[in-house]
Amino acid sequence: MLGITRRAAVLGPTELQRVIQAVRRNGGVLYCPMITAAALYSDSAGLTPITGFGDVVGRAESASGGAAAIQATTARKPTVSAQGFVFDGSNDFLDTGLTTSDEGWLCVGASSTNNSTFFANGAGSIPVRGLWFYRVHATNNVVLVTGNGSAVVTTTVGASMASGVPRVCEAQWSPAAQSVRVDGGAPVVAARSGSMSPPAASLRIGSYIDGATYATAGTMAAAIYCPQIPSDAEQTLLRRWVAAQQGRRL
Amino acid sequence: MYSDSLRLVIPVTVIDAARAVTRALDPDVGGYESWTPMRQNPDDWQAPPTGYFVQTPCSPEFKQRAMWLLQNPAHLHSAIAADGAQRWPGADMPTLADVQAFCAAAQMEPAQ
Repeated sequence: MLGITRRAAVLGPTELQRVIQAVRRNGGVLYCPMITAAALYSDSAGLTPITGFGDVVGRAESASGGAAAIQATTARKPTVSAQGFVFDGSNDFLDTGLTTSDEGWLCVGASSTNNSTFFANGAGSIPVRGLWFYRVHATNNVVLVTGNGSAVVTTTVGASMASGVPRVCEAQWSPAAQSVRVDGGAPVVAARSGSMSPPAASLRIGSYIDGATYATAGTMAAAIYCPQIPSDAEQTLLRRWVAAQQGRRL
Repeated sequence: MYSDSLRLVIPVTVIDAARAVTRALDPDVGGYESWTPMRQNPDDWQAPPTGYFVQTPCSPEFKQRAMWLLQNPAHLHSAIAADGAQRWPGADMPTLADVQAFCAAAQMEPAQ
């Protein structure tokens, strides 16, 4: 990938292979602009590779195989920097085309200067069916929201997110409970009931939700979604690796 | 490389022509979806929009061309027609009057 070199990571190629295997075992996808295997293109069809930092991204292949994340509208494409995907908070997002299920796990390495939503199903306010996963700048919280058509469950990790500081946010959910944690800290669990799927729209990554104002500009170093919940050991591995893409050691 | 940016704001009345314009100018296939609704209360996403905006990173050359086309509706209309014939056969195309109305209404703002 011209113009993009992987930063000096805390974890090396062997760990990357283990990460990819873990994501594949759980049927997931992994998006990370710092991995040369994850091709980035400025067009949604994947015909024009990016040439360097500052270019827009219209297609990001998953490093583990599976769905590419796509944006066909140039005005809504993020750019790529040495820190990852840069979402303008105005209208940028990448659409994975995936829908979430009742057993799911996601992980994102995010750094932002304000409110940022980094994974979302649905295209409106609080989801009717689906999930939001976001960071609220005003209260420095990480919030996971899931909706099942009649009930919305909100799980919050409070007072742990200084603005602009890179963090790895993890969430998992099932019909019985959902949880969210930051940098491998103690998970905050909330009971939930009913079925979340099928969501209203496919899974998006970005810092923007149509019509809502919960998001502004933010940067994402790496993002993982698995339709089934990885083992504790796998979660630890994936969390550590995502933090390494932020130049941190967890 | 995209070292510049472009932000345009329009009233609701010219949204159809605006979508045709961005469909033609976007090198990718999603230009029709470029416009984002603005609302009096942004949290009320079901309220009717009060206007639309588009904001995009771009090259200085693209911005220069876009600004020139905005000042020359006849050329912009020709560009839309040519692109439509090549990439969007069968799609509804705006009239010259539609494009003139769009150009008159579009306001350029600093990128946010």
